[in-house]
Amino acid sequence: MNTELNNKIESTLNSFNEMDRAEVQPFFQTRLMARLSKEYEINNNNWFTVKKPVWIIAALFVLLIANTIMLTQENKPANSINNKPESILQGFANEYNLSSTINY
Amino acid sequence: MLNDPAFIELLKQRNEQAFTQLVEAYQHLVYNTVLGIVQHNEEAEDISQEVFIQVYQSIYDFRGEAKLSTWIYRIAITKALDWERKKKSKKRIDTLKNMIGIRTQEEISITDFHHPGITLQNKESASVLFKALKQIPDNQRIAFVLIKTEGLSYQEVSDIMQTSIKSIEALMHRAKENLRKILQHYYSA
Repeated sequence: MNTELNNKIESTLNSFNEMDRAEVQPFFQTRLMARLSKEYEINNNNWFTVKKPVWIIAALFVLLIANTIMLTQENKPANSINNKPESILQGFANEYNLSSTINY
Repeated sequence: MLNDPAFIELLKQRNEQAFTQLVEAYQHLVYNTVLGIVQHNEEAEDISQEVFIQVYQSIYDFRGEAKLSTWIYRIAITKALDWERKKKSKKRIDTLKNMIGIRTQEEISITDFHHPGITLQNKESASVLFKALKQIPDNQRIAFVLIKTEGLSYQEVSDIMQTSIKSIEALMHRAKENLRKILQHYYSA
């Protein structure tokens, strides 16, 4: 390698030596605060954003309990007379003073 | 004062005045570091904003084991490198789109980067050096940028990069060797 090329390379490698620190454009802080408040506004308005996994687990647990209750209620034998369709319809007719008789 | 536990506590309480003070103190540090990595003024500002948003959101994770500035440097470096990776993958997709005939709206311009802090007499050679820096491995480049553009000591860089001073010395040595090879090729062509 010749000396001239060597010097050129070394001088290029040292070209950062006297550099000053680059500074942000004026009002950087104002732009940052505007962006920060905008991002927080978006996050706060998002109803579907679940912040902690514990809430997801709790919601799933509640759904599981509700489903279990529904299923056990469905499987119970309907032996009470009040559960018969005729009596339900009759009760409905009585409540609204419907005079017509229900025929099947 | 900025490393004072009481100040950190104020930040954790989302105190706006404390956050403003933090931004005021570290904005140039963050911007200059990011700019040295991404080499683009507007994008460096965008990433710097993201850095402070990340600081605001993750201040609870700051345990005070390192200095606040060290922690902020790490966030700035991570964000800048993430941005670069995203840009590279976008560039690959754009190249593919161009190959199959789909025109992309945004062309990535390959222009010379001129750092605002460089003296006029070093402007051209610094631009060549910035271009060469893009071709060396990330860890070598980060060490070089922090030492040369931020003026940090080997000790400070070793704290930021969470490695020994010996490793930083080795990284700098390899960075200079690689840069010499790239520059030799550049000037010989």
